[in-house]
This record gives sequence, C-alpha cells and structure tokens, in this order.
Amino acid sequence: MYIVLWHEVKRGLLRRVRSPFEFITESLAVYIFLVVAVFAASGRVPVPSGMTASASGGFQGRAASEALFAFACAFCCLGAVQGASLLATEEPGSAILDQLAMSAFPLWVIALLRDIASIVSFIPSMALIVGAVSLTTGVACPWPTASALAPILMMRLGLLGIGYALGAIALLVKRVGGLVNLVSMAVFALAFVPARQWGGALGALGIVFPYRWWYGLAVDLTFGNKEATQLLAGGAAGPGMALASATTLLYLFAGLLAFGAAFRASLRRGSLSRA
Amino acid sequence: MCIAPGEVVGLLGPNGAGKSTVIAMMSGLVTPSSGRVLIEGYDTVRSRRQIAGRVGAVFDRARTLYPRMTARENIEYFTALMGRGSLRSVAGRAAHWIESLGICRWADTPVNSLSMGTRQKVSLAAALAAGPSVVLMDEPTLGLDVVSSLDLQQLIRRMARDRGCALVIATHQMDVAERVCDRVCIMSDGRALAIDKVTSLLAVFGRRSYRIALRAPVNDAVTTAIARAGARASAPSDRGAVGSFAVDIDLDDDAGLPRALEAIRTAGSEVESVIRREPCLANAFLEITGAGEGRRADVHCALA
Repeated sequence: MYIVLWHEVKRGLLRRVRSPFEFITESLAVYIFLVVAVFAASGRVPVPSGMTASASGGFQGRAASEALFAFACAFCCLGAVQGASLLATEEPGSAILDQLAMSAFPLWVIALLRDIASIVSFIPSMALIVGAVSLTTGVACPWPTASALAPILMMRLGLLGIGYALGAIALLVKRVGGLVNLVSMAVFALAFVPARQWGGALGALGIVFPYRWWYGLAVDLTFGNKEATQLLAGGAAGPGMALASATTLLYLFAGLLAFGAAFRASLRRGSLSRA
Repeated sequence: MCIAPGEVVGLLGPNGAGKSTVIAMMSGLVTPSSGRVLIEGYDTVRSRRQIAGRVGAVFDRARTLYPRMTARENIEYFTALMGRGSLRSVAGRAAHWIESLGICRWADTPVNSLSMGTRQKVSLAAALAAGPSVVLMDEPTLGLDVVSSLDLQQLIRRMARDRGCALVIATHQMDVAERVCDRVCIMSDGRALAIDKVTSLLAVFGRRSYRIALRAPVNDAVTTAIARAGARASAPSDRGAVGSFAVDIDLDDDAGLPRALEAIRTAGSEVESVIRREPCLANAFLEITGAGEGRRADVHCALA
C-alpha cells in the first residue's frame, strides 16, 4: 500500500510542477482570501500601502492571528470534503475510474491514500502561504502545538466522512459540484466565527458538522487557553471529547458505508464511469 | 463460453449489441444480471481483489491514462495499483514493457503530447505490466490510422503467442477481427448469435461472391436472368468507381457460376471478365445478424 501512497504523493507533486500556472493562481487565491480575513478580523479595511493589522480586537472580538489559524484549518479540511467526490467524477469522459475500480485496492482506500497524499503536499504550500500572509499583514500565525494536532486530525477525519458521503452521491448522480461547494462554504462559514461564540444557525451547523468541538479545542490549545489545558489535564473534557469522538467516528463510518453501497449500486447499474 | 490461454476472441456486433457491457462484466465493472464470469476460477463479482492484476483492460482512445503524466509514470502508477511487487519491481516491469512495445522514445513524454497510436501502446503496456492472464480490449483500434492499427494488431497477436495471454477484443471493425481473432462471438441485442472460429464462420456464412464485368451496362433482363439461374445479383458497393458495367453475384456453391454466366449470355449481354471475391467476415456478420437481407434489398433497388 505504501507504494501506491508514494505514487499518489508523486502524482500530486508532479501535477503542481507540470501546471505551475494553476498552482500559482490557486495559491494566490488562498493568499488573498487569508489577507482579507486577517484584515476583517482586525477591523481594518485593507489599503495598498502603509497598513498593518492590529494583533487583536476587530471582527467578532477575535484576534487576527486566530482568524488566520481558523482559515488555515478550514483549508486543511477542504481536501477531505472534496476528495472522494473528485475521485468519483475524475477526468469526466475517461475510463480512469474504471481502471481504479479494477485495482487491488477498494475505491475508498484509494480515496484515503489520496487524502493522505494531499495533506503531504498541502502542508508545505500552506506554510508558505501563511508565511507570506504573516509577512504582508504583520499578523503571526502560530504553528499548532503537538497536542493541537490530534483535534485537527479528528476534524479532518469527521469531514472525510462527509467527503465519502458526497463521493457516494457523486458515484450515483455524477454532477455534485454544487453540493460539494455548498458543504465547503459551510466549513468556511464556521471558520468565520470564533468557536466560543457559535450560536443560533451557526451553532446548529456546528453540531451537524463534526468540526465544532475539535476546532475549539485546537484553537484553545494552540493559543494557550489555560482553562482548556487545565480541563484536558484534569480529564474534565471527558464527556465533550467522548461525544465529539463518537460523532466523528459515526460520520466517518457512515460515510464509508454510503460510499461502499453507492459503489456496489453503480456496478449493478453499470454507471461507474458514465459521465 | 470458455477462453483458453493464448487465444484471441473477438466480440462483434452492431452499436448497442452489448460488446462493451460484456467487456465491463469481465472486468468486474458491471454486475451481471444473470450468469457469472470466472477468471482463473475467481468470480469477478465476489472475488474482486483476487481478479485484480489477473485482468488488464485497454479502452478505446486510451481513455485510461492520466493525460498530464508521462507514459512511464502512467504505467508505473497503474501497475502499483494492481498491488504487484515492490517500488523497484514496479519500475522494472514498466521499463520492460516500454522496451517490449517499442515506446522508449516517448517514455518520458506526457501522454497528452503523444499520438493516438502511441497512447494506445502505453495503455496496453499499463495493462500488461501487472502480468495479467486476461487482457480485455474495447475498440482498441478505433481512431487509429492504418499503420498504427496494423502495428497494434501485430502486437495483440504477439502478446497472445509469446505471453499466452487470453485476449478478448470488442470491435466492429471486421477486418481487424478477421486478422487478429482465433474465434469470434457475433452479438446482437445483448445475445450471442454465433460463437466459432473465423474460418468456420467463413465456410458456413461467407458466400461465394464474384464480380462480373460486362461489355454493356447491366439492365433488368440481366439481373432477372441471374436470379432465375439461382444467384443473387447486387450492384457493386464501389459502383462509382467501376461504373454500371459490373454486377456482383452471390452463389451458394461454385457450380452455380456456369449457370449464371450462361443466363447472362442468354439475356443478350457479353461477359468481359469474372473475378472471384474471397468470402469475408463482414458478409458472414451481415448474414448472422440479419442485416444482410435489408442491405441487399437496398442494393437491388439501386440496381433497378
């Protein structure tokens, strides 16, 4: 399996090298988005010269660095949401999906390997973009602490479950671009508001998405919220963490089941790589 | 239907006959509504993992390749996906097939810069590198020029002979099937109408055909006389080139020829030459699928 993972990583990197224009424009779009988010968070309107964002205050009372961290997390999760559906609709009109389905690995394993490969290629490029944003705006984005990596991983696993569910729909009805965009926008909507202030519609969205609790924990751990650290150290976060873990695993397994069922249904219908 | 190692079987049929569906069922990409497909004893539906690597597939226009990856990268990637061997052996297998199929020159060129013929060879190399015992090909020569098509046909024969691969080819190019296949299955509306060796089908269905050139234009009296002599007359398909002085006749046996020539003379026309036309798979196909009768009726109308 590691050979396939190696080839997936290589394929992802080669795609970027062979299509530099596509890579640069994508990175530029992320960079602009993050700069605007930082300025919005710091309550400043971006102007071309002589401007630096303040380190705290502004939009929803959130520190600009936290906003930057939140959107970096959102971009990190985006790959998980889109991966399986991109695989299911890969190269429309081609028979590549057929070829993948004939392989020794189930389609969901290939999607998982691609997700891991996308993280490998995501980390350096995102680090570069966040570095550039920090240089431009003067707002530093801290690296997540080692303890914050676990909640970020759980966040991604939960959203991977949603990604598999979207992949299942894509296997059956093919054209799911709009739905995937909608889910991606929801991830961004959640990242707009500090985890502590989620309420109303966003609160409901936060419950539906296996994202809210982990995201809040990652923020607290990274930004050194003493209360959260003490809660974790004292084991008081137990019930919340148990519920969040159960929700995340439920999403993941439900997504996997749906994806497997959709794959078998598409074999019965003979519609696997039909455009 | 059983296919032996080293055998090349062609699936022939009009559009919508079910050729590609059969190929997809054999690859495990479509679940059969009834019946089953076994590859080396493994059911394609129940034992998907076991058949991976035992079956290779090549689709029309090399649609199974990533266009921005090079030929070598594509072959290595799809070989790795079959779960066969280590990183080094995957690279070794890819290099071996790149050399065997004569595509060394293009090995490190992105697939989207290659000609269709070379892409099809890359596609074949990707299918063969995992060491399959069965290779399925859906319209492998579609869209290829004459030279590339003949080249690929030679490769197919070589694969069957040298490697002992069982090859199944879905095509509606009769000449390809006639040159490449040991056996053909003629299909229509999802049913197999005939499964036999090409030579056997030609012996049974390939009619004895002659082209008779006359010194005067073919008229109603001539065609009526030919019909009375027990032969079927039709205008040449290349009538524009040969003019109205020639007529094609189909006979059930060679003994019918003297009768037909005598009938033409009796009708007042003079024969200039007679050319025997070898039986071909296309005629057998038309006979078996029933499309032949309609075609002949059309030609008779044109002749009249």
